[in-house]
Amino acid sequence: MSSAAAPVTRAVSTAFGLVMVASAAVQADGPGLVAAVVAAAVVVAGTVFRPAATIAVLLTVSVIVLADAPPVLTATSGLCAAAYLVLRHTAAMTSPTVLGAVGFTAAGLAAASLPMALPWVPLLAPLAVLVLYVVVTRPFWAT
Amino acid sequence: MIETRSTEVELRWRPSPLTRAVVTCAAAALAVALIGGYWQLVAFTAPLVGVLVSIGWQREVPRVHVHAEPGSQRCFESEETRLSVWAVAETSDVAVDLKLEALDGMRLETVEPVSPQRHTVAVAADKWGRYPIVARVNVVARGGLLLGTGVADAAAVFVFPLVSPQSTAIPRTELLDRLGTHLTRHIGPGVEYADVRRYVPGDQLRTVNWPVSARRGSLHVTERLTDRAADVVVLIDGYPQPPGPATEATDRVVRGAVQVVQSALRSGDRAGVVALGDRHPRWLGADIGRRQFYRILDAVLAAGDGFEATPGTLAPRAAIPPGSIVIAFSTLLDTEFALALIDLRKRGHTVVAVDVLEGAPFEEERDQLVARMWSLQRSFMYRDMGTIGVDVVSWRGDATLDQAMQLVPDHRSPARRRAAAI
Repeated sequence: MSSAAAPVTRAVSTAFGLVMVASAAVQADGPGLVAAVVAAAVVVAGTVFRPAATIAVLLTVSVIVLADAPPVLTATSGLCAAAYLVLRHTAAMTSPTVLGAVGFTAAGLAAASLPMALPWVPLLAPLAVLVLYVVVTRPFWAT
Repeated sequence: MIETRSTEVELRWRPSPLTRAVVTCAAAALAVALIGGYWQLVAFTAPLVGVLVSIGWQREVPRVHVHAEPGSQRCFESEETRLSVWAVAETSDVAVDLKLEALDGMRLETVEPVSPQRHTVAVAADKWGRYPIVARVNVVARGGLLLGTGVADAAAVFVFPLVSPQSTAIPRTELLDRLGTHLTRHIGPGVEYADVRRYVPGDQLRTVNWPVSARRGSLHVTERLTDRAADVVVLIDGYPQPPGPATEATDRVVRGAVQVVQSALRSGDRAGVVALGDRHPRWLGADIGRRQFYRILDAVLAAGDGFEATPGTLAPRAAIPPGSIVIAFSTLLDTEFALALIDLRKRGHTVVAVDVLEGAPFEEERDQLVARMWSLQRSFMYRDMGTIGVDVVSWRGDATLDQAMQLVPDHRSPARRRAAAI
């Protein structure tokens, strides 16, 4: 498949990618900062090589882990990651995509902000994630 | 009018690279969140999951049509021709990517690529045949989450054979009583001198030979030999051939047929064609003129719909006018085609079969003995066919067709009939 994205879309997607790395690295220091610099470099490389965008997002996850970013910044970073990936692969974002991303960000933020004091949460979480994964990817199985 | 052909592409949908990237990132982030207990990563994953879930609210996958203008193009060998192909999706919010391909043997060059959806290509081929232009379509739909791929025949290019311009001789036979260009022994209007005879009432005055009349003292007229026209019907063997030399020889089947038709039409004869044994046996009635030449080319390559179809393995009666000359091009390996020739001979036509097969039809090198036995068998077959009345001439690749056709045996009519004719 040839890249259908116009240069403008590509520039916007790169901007989203840099914001994604920046919001993850706000509180970073030491190894987190190094990972952020590498991630930003990969974002720049992603303007040429499309698969690099996926690696940039995965590096951003490592930045968040190393910097232990708060949920609000993580959610911003995640939203930018979604916009970055979509715009890097397609020419424009459709309104259902925007609605889905923003709506789920709100829900995810609410979930992450809850005090995880209940003792059975770590027990239930893997199952819940597995079910979520199956439910989300189900529409793609048939195709 | 240039017709536009529209084909719907049958698309196969699968997750797009975007979907795969988003799923990878979400799965990795969730795994880290679970194993390491970084719960803020749930907030990071949520938008990615939202993008994936949004497929339920996206617009339905569109249908994609490929258009080609002209939908079927005709040209001669090594002639360059242009056609435009473009892909259109029902909805405008999808990205359509179009790639054009041609079969081996056809050169395809893209000129002025206007957009990914529209291509203008210049195509040329060195060998006659039917060349489909294959369009490969990639469609990204449903918000970029699904990728559809499909292949469709967008257009067809018919490449006609170019044949040498030499005229081919037609076998000597009783021709129809119609003015033409073949000199006969019949008396009638013409230019060639035949005889001088005494004037009888009813003779045209301008045929009176005045010097002879003055010498003899009574009116004498000059008789002339007349030129007559022929009906030539070409029979093409389209039966499947064994791989190897026999398949290569079928190239000359069409070339020979076209040369005979070209030569007949140029000399004012009516020409027709019958193609047997193909998946669609077809025929075109005999007619004159330049238009007929292109109609016959169409019928030979099964282009367009200007020809008739026949269900059987014998040449239909309507295709062969009474008294017409049948010239068949074949490898003479198929019994059904030989039966069609014998049937035509029984109906009273002059039938000449041109054998295009050179040597034995075996792919690998065999013993010398096998080749000699094969050539013996072939000569027996020639003799048997000749006994029935179907003359077989062998056309080898190094000779031209008019040289080969010179070898058609000259069956002179009995002296009694010849005397009656003159």
